[in-house]
Amino acid sequence: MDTSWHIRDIHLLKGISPEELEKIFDITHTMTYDRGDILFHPEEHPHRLYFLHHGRVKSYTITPDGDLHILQIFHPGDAFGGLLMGVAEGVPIWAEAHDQVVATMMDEFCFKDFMRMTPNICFKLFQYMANRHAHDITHLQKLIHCDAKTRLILVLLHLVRVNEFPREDWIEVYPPYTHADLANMIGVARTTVSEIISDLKAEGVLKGRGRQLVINKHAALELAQSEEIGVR
Amino acid sequence: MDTIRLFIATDDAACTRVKDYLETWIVDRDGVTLEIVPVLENPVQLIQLGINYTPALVVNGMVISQRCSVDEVREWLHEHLLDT
Repeated sequence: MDTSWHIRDIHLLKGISPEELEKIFDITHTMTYDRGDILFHPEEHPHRLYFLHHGRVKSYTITPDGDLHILQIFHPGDAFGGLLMGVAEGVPIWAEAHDQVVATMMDEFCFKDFMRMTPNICFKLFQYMANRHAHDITHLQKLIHCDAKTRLILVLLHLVRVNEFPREDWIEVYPPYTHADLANMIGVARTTVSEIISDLKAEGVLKGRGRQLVINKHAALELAQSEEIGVR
Repeated sequence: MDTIRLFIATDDAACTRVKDYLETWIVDRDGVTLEIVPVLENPVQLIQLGINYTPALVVNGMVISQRCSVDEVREWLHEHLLDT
C-alpha cells in the first residue's frame, strides 16, 4: 500500500555541533508550511528529500476514481521524498502539511553539497539506512512466523508509533485504515482481519467504530509478547 | 532574571492553553520574562534547540519539556521559580 520512500525516527540533525548545524543551514533549505500547504507535487517528488522537524505531513495519491488515498503520515524525525530513489516511478504522490510544519529540504544540488561539506553526518545517514534495512528484515521475519492475530497487533503498534506516546493508555490509529488495507499488510483475507478485530475489541485491546481503531497500548504489548512465545 | 520561551504552533489548542496559562502567570511577576515563539516564524531556533513537539517550554535556553500540559508547566514553575 505504501509506495513512498521514507525512513522513520532518524532525527538526523539531533546532537550535532552548532558549527555543523550552521553549515547545514547554509547548504539546505529550511522550510515552513502552514496546515494544508503542499510540500511537493508529483513532479517534484523524485527531486526532493525532506527531514521533518516539527508537525506531521501526509503523503497521498489520487486514485483513478478521483479518491484521495493516504499513503503515509510522517512524524518529526522522519525523512522522506524520492530524491535518493532517483526514479520517478509508481503512483503520483503529493505531500501536504497536516499541522504547522518545519522541515529541512534538499534537492540534488544541495544533497551533493551536503555529502561534500558534512561527510560525517552523511555517513550517519547511510549507517542509519543500513540499520533500518536490517531492522525491517528482522521485523518481516518476525511477522512471517507469528499467527495472524499477533501480526495484526504488531502492525497496529507499528502504525501508531507507540514510543511517541509514553503517557497515553489508548492511542488512535491514524490515519484510519480499511480492513482491506490491514489485510494487505499482514497477508490474510479481509474477513480474517474483521474477525480478529472483533475478537480484540471483545478482549479490550481495541475499541472504535467503523474504520476508526483505538488501541490499548499496554494490553496490545502484553498480548503481542505472550503470543510471540508460541511462535509457529 | 529568568527567561521563559514557549514554542507554539499557533493553530494548536494544546499550545494555546499553555500560552494562555503562562500569559496569566507572568502578570506582575518580577524577574521573569516570557516570550511566545511561533514555530513558523522561528524554524531555525526550533531546529537548533532540537524541538520536535509543541508546546515546548524552554527556560534560560534549556528545553524543559516538549508536548507539555498546563499541569506540567504549573508544576515545573512551582518547583523551580516559586520564589520569583
